[in-house]
Amino acid sequence: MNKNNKIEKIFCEIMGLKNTPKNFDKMKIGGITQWDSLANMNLLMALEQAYSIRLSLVEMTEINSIEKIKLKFLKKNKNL
Amino acid sequence: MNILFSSTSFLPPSKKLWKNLNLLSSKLYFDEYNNITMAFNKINNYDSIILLIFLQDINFENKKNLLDIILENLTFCTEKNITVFVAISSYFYNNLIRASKHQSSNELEFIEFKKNIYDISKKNPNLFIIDLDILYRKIGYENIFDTRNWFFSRLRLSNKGIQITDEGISSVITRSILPEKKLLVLDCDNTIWGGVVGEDGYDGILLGNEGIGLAYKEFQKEIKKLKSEGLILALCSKNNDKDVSYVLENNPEMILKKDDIVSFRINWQEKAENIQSIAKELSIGLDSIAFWDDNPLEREKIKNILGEVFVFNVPNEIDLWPKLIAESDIFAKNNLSHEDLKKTEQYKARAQFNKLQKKSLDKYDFLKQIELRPKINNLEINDINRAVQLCKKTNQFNLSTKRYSEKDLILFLNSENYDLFIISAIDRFGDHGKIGLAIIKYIDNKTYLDSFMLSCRILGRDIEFWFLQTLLDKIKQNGKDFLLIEYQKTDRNYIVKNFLESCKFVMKDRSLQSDNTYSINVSTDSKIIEIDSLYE
Repeated sequence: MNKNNKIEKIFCEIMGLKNTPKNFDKMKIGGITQWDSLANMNLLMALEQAYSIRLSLVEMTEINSIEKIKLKFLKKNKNL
Repeated sequence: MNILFSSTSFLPPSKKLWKNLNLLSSKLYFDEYNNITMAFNKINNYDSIILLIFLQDINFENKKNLLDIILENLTFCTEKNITVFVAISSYFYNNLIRASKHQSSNELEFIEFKKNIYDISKKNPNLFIIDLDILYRKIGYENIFDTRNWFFSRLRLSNKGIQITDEGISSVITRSILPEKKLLVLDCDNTIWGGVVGEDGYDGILLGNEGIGLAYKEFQKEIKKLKSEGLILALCSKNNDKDVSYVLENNPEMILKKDDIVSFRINWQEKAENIQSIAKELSIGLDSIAFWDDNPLEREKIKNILGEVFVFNVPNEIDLWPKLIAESDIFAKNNLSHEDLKKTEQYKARAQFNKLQKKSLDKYDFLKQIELRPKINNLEINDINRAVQLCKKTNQFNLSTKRYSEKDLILFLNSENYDLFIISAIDRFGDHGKIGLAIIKYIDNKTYLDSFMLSCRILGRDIEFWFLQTLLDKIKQNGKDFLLIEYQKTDRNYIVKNFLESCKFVMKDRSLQSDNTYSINVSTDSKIIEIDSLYE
């Protein structure tokens, strides 16, 4: 699976969406109603599991957009 | 089942995370966290409530802390007949050096709380305690709790912690609804001892106080413990009968003795056939049977042929076996009744009875011979455990197969619209204990036989005729004319229909337009049976 698709798939699953929203790459928390802070936590925890990466408390608080998600999960070990 | 889930700290209400709990509840409602006191006000809308309490969340500086409030409210819940599951974990930050001389006061308070809550649960059938520490310690607190989640969102648990909590709570709730397995069928060679008796000899098998032999011995010990709690045991092994008997009688290391085993199938037939014949002999459903065999081929065969039988996934490492069987959910009970402690005797008596029955030609002669003494009593509160067990477990001789809970039965007991009767019996083969339950319901001037069941181990004695007749006499005494009986068909209870249709004065009730409704005119003097003199 395309790396990008993996994130999209998890995102859609957590948010309960059938299709990836338009402008996915530019989305931020609150961009759709489903993506609230609780959903954000669920999303980050699901991504942690899928990528076997553990986020720190600071990262958990700061990662709030697809851009930052990709930065963290697609480029391992790279700090934000 | 509608469940309210209330916790001392935040829980993410995701269906995916609480997989098992969502599967077993029709509606799982996550309450606001840290709001248990308020949760007690909402319980009327739910069948059950789960309270998840982390010691870390309790503020012990309050004069009256949450634990006191919970204790006060529990009795109130159970008066309202709401099932309460109290899940607790006593994990808190501690230090080995500090703990080397002092027990923390919080810990002491929590121990006290636990003691109190167990005391309440003794008197209270609707209260279950889920000691999560049993599971958490196994996995390790480090893996269960996650401080990052705590500071991020007031969630104490890690992903793994949620998964374990979900599984743990669900297993207790499941067992409060579904019955446990009654019979364990065991292989012999390389299962209850190491080696092959036919080759190694009765004293050459691996069983003893060292190494592998010890593992087998401890495995037997754990099985014996389960037996003492009411599990019944059968041996099914491809072997020479003599060899196995010789081990059971003469090998001093054997923990399981001949007397512990209710049924033997030591032969060269297919195990599936053997298990079916054991089920028949003991009148036990296949879905009440668990099977343990070291041989994966045998396990696969049983899985394929007898899908209802629970087949243990036996690991190759024998050292894991004692723990695996001791910790297995499938035999675990949350309520031990007096009858459980005598199970093996009772099933043996049944097997013996089947033998005598085969020999005896005339049925009435036979019934006289066994000196059966049935007794009927109004159900009392002390009988509730047993009555619930009967409701849960009786599949064959069960008119309506209504799986009433303790809460239901207590409700009936206190209601004027219901009469509940429990019957017990003694005969030459022993005290069978409480073996049947009947519930009579009075609605709109009509009298219904709501539930009517007999434990399968008592069948074959025509006790069902006596039971029904005795009920009719009681109904007549109460001035009622007709008893309506609605048979509710399941896969297993056709014998009840046969019974009803064999009773002389039971008529099909046409007014109710159902093929399965019967009525009995109680006011006529006729007896449904002529054999009551047998029981005098």
